[in-house]
Amino acid sequence: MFNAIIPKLCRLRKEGKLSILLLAISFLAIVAIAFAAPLLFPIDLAKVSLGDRLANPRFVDSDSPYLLGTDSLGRDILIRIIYATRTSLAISMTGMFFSLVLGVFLGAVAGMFGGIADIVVMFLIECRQAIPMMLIGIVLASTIGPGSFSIILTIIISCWSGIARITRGQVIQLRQSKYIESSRLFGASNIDIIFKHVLKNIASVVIVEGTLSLAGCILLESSLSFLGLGIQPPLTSLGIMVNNGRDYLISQWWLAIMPSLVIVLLSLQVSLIGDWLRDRMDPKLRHASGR
Amino acid sequence: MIRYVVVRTIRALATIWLVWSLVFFLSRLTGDPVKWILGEFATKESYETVASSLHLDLPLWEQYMRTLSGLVRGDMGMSYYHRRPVADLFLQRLGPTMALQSVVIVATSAIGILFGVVAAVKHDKLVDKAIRFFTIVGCTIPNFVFAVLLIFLFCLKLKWLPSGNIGSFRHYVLPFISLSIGPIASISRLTRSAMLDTLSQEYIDVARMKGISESAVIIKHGLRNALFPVVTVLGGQIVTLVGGAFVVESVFSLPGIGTLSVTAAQTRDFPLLQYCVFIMIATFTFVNLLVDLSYAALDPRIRDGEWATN
Repeated sequence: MFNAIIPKLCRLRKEGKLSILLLAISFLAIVAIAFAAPLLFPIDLAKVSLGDRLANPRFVDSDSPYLLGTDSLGRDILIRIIYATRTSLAISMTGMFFSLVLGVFLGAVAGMFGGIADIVVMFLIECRQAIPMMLIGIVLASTIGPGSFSIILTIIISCWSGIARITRGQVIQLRQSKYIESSRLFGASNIDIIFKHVLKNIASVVIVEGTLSLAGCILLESSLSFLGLGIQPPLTSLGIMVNNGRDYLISQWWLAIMPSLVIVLLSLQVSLIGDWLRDRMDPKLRHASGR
Repeated sequence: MIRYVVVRTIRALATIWLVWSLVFFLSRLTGDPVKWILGEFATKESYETVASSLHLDLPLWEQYMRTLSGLVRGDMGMSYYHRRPVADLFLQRLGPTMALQSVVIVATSAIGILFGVVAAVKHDKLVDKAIRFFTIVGCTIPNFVFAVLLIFLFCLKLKWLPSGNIGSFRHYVLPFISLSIGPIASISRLTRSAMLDTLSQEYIDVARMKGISESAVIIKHGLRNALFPVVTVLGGQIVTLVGGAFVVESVFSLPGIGTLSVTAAQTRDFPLLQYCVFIMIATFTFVNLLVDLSYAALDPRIRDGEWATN
């Protein structure tokens, strides 16, 4: 079996695709493990065992039953990191999805109809971009109470503007193209044109933009929960774990550093995949990202 | 040009008003500040006295008009808790934030542009690869992770620097580093791609052919043209920076504007929160307005086709 795979891998390496393949596989593996966490490790997140508190990880004490040790309430860090990754990913993906929908809708409306619609959308984009995302997060967390809903809402409100701006630019370019003009001559309505031609043509740009903004969403989610404006216990998220671990930096440094590394790993993977997608889908931008 | 300036200024004022009003109504939804001030077991009389002294018994619309007219007259109101004008409280906390932000803004632009230019000039050399690696890492690591890593390394392991509060400049070193790495990375990334674009233009070859020295070609012909997109983004960077200050100030317990607004939001101190938001939004909008206007003054294509593509 290996004999068949190795030449294939060599070919991929030559084409420069091996690293992106590994990146995508490792990211998908993390996503799969994180989302299957309740099946793989069916534990009660609220359960504490104070007898086992602050156990050493295996790289400090090789006899330890816990690979990454336990936290100040005696809970296994590795399992908590997996559950935290699950929450962080679920929240940022949901937020990204809805901001994508909102952004594409508003951008397409502004680009397609122009006039008042365009002025209003551009004005809203400008307003949004004058507010720091953290401020939106703070106001929302104190308005509707901190939790997954407030973070998702913060992500939607923060991320739609960039997507709307790009969609609008794309739609304006498309609207002036010959084939849209000719389908309009054949009597297609604006709605028809948006769904049949425009959305299909801007799909690649939107996918790239969505992937790149997912990295931003992961960072935003972890920053908000780091400040305590997000998920509440017993649920956990990567930002909360870093914040809790901060008090033990002197003696148990891994409590804060391990979840930090997971955040960095996730956002690095997502943004590298996004960069690669951009290079693939839009040759015009190829040299911009450094190829 | 005059028409452009007027339209842009009106839009900037409208932005400030809309965001300010949004915060007014949203924060009113968060809860009753009187309950926060008096606690749960307040008598009805004391509740009413406090509510009427803070004008919280008026209908929402009247409260809004009062606050708005105060804003126009320059009277920003008193903090519910400190019983002092909010502007005083704000000014008191402005020092640490200004000290940090001003250095960060100047330094990140300078270092980011320098990195970008060097990377573009040494395209595909080792320096370029190193800078590209740095930009990828810098863009993907959030500032609070940097802050925690830096505290771990420099405060706890090496014991070189203090980890919180204010005092000498040594207190600002770590907040400065954790706040600047992200912006430096994104500015240098942008400068690099703009410079690569510019350096591949024909007029650069012409300039070289005329026998101008290489450094003059890069700075006078390359950088001056490449800076246009960079300057536009710098305005937006300020918003990101202040957002980052919320996190970094709280990690390093700097008594600045970030921590002040977080506490104001948590304690339902509406006048204080609103003042903080107003000053921030006004600053951003004003900076963006200046960027846009200087841009339009330099490039006639922009002021002519205001609603054209991006």
